[in-house]
Amino acid sequence: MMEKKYLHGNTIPVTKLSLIRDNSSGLTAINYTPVKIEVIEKYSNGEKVLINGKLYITELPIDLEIGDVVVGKVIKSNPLTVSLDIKKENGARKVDRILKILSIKNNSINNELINLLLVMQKPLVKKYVEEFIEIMQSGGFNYSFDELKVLTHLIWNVKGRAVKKTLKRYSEVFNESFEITGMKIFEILNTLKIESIDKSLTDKIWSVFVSEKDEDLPVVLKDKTNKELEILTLLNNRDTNSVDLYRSGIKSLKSCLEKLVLQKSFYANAGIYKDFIIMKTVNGYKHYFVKYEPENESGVSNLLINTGESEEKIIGYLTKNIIYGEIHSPATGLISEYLINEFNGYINSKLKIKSYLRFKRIGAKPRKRNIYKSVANYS
Amino acid sequence: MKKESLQIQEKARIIPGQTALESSGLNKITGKENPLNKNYTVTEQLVLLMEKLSKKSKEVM
Repeated sequence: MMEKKYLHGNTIPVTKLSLIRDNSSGLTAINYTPVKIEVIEKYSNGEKVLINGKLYITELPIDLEIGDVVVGKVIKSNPLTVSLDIKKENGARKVDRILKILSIKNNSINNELINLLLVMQKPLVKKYVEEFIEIMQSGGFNYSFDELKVLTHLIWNVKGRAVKKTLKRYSEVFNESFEITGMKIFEILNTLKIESIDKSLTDKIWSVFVSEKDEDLPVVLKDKTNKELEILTLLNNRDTNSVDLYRSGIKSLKSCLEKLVLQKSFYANAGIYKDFIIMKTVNGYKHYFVKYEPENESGVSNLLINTGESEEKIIGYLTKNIIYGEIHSPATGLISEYLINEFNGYINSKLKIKSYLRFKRIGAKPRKRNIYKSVANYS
Repeated sequence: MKKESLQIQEKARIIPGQTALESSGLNKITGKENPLNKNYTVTEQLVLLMEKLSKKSKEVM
């Protein structure tokens, strides 16, 4: 468990302790230089730690073992307050210092990886950083940023004997991306629909992903994972008495659906909520990917909706009563403005959510040289 | 290493860099915690808007 909330230490009595070594100075200066925190002993409800060699008592906000080393920065001198979030004031010298504190080889790859962990705001615990570097160097450079968030979440949070098993499961579940898994499901569903051998089952599966009843509400999103789990249960009892081609389709669907649910589950544990949806359009069926990433305790979710194939997307923020963001589309400005105004009005009146969605055109051909712009440049 | 008996320096507060999320991921995606379950109507409308724009752009082309 990572979260222990802020720890004040006021309840811990100050006692005489053995100072192991004291060869540091300037700890009280708030210069944000990375400092080395070393856990030397459990003490009452907290820990005795060496911060750059000086002995302190504290209650660490993360679970660490005796002997663990973590990097922090001094943010307040009285009482001495050290933050484990050292993402700000980033710079090459700082990364050099971090690598030195962690006794990790200073090379360009490790530099990049530390920078990545700083961006992801991971507490730089030596043993986790080392594990992360090891996994990345053993061929893990193909992960997307979201997948890396999941990976680091696992390294930083799964404890004890479960670690190896969980990381193995992770590499199996993410041997292809969420988007690839979704697109495979889309293809299998299309095939099953065309084959139409077990119509009742196919219709049931299809209804989870696509509603064909109402043109205005073609997407089925509510409790989607629960419905997918129901389909998985259904598929578990169905793949034995049908013709080979159909059976193989059902088997593939089951495997992809299992993977999709597991990927969603891994993502959710890391604070990322993804889903895959299919909608009926006049030109056939089309798939979309949705991602919500709630920011901690603020009530704001980062939102991304895209197709996984084109540059069309909605990127923005959503709170309980506001949508703010951009829609990227190849449509023309006038049409887009009209449709977006219509959307903003509808969302405001029907859902009582203020929508500030803006339009950004993509794929527009570059305009011919604008004479007025040229004049403006020389004026 | 020579040990000396000294007064502890002072109490240090160490604050976390990030808030960790825990419990089962499956519970999260099937429950109310999943933002998609809370915002499915908005999401539907956003997807519909994307599709309308996409359709219009194809008509123009």
